[in-house]
Amino acid sequence: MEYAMKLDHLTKDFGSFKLDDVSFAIPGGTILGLIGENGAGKSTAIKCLLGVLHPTSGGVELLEGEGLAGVGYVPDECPFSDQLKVRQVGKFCAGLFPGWEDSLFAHYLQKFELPGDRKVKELSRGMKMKLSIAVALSHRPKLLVLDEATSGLDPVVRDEILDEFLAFIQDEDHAILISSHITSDLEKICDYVVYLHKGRVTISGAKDELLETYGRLNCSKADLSRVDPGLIVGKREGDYGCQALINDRAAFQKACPDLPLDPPTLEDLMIFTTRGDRG
Amino acid sequence: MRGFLRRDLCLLRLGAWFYPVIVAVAFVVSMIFSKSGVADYTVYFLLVFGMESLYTLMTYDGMNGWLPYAAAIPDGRKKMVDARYFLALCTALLLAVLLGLYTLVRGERLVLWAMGFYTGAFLLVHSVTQPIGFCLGYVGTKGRLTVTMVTFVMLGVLGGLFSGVLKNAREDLARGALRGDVGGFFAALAGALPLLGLGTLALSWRLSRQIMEKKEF
Repeated sequence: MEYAMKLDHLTKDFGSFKLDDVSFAIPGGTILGLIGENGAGKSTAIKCLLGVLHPTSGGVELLEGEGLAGVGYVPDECPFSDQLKVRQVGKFCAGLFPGWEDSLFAHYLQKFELPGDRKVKELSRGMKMKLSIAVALSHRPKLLVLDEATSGLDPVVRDEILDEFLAFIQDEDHAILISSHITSDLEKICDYVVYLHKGRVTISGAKDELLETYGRLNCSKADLSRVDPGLIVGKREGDYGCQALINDRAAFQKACPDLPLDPPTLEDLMIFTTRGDRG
Repeated sequence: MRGFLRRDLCLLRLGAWFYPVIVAVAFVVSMIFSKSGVADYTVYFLLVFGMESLYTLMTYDGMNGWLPYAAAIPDGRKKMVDARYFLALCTALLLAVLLGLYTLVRGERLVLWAMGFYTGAFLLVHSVTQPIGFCLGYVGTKGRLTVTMVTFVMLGVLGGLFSGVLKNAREDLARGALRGDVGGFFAALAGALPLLGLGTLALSWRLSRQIMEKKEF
C-alpha cells in the first residue's frame, strides 16, 4: 500500500474558523504525528478524514479506496456509555465492525488488564482509553486514527500505549495518524510530522529531517541582531539572553559559524512558529 | 445494524426493571379504581413508557461523544437510524400485544380499538419525534423541549379527536346496540390508524436517514 490516507487541498470553513487548504499523506508502514496548539484544526482535519464532518472543498482518500472499513478510530474521550460493562461493549462492537474478532478483543482485555464485568464508569481515564484502543484494534484495521488519545494520561500508561502502536506498525500495510499537543510522545514514535497552525499546514515532513533542518539558537541580543531575519522562524527575547528557531541549519552555520545551534524538539517548532506568527 | 441494535437493547435493559414495576402498580390501581379498560393508568403508562424508552436512547446517543464515533463507523449513520426505527416497530408490536392482553383481562370489548388506536398513536408520534431527535439531539434543552412538547400536543390532539367517538361507541356497546355506521367507522379506525402510523413511520425513516447523512458532529 503506497498511501494509507491522503488529504488533498482539504478546506473546511466554519465562518469563525477555517481549515485551509490542508494536504498531507501517510505512507504505508509509517506513523504521522499531527501537532498543533489547541484550536489549530487537528480534530477538524481528522473528522473530515473520517466523514464526521463534510469538507467545504478538497478530497479525502482512505486506504486507497477501501474507506472506513479498515480504519480504527480512537477519539479523545471514551465513546461508550458509562453504564455498560466492558464485555457488553465488545458484544455490540462485534456487530459494528466488519472483521471483528472476539478472540482478539479478549486478548487485548487481558493484555490491558481490563475486567470484563466492570462498568465503563468505574474505569480510570487510562483504562477507558485502553478500552477504546482495544476496540479499535480488534477488527484488524489497517489505519489507526487517534485524536488526542494520550492526553490526560500518566506517563506509564502513555508509554504502554505507545508501545502498542509501535507493535501495530510492524506490518508494512499498517499506518497510524496520531494527533496530539504532547509533542514528546510524538517524537518517540513518529516518522512524519505535520504542524497545523490556525488551520493551515505550517511545517510538514519527515521528523528526523525536520529536526536536522531546523535548529535552536541560544544567544545574546547582540548576536541575534546579526542573524538574517529570513532564517528566524520565531524568537524569545529576555533580559539575560535570547532563543530563536532557525529554519535552515546549513545556511545559518555558513552565515554565523561562531554561533552554535542545538537540535530542536517538536515543541520548539510549535512554540517558535507561534511566536513568529505573533511577531 | 446488528451492532447498533445490540447497543440500544443493552442500554434499554438498564432501566428494564423500572417499567414493569410501575406498570404493575398502575395495573393494580386501575383494577381497583377504574371501570375503563381502554382509557386508564395502565394503558397510559404503557404508551408513555414505550415512547420514553426510545427517547432515553436518544439521550444516550448525545453522551460521551457517541454520535461522532458512530458516524466514523462504516455506514454508521444509516445503520443507527435503521436500528432505531426497527426498535420503534418492535416496541409498537409489543405495545399492541400488551394492550390487547390488558383489555382482554379487563373484559373490555373494544380490544382491537385499544390496540389499534394506541399503537397507531405511538407510531404517529414517533414518526414526528424521531427526525426531530436526530436533527436537534435530545441532550440539549432545545431538542428535549421540542420532542416533549410535540409528544404531548400530538397525544392531546389524537386523544381529543377520538375520545368522543370512543365514548359514543362504548355507550352503544353498553346498550348492546352498536350502530352499524359507528361500528364500521370504529373497525376502520382501529385498522387505519396503525396503517397510517406505519406509512408515516416509513416516510419518517427516510427523512431521518437524510438528516443523518447530512449532519455534522
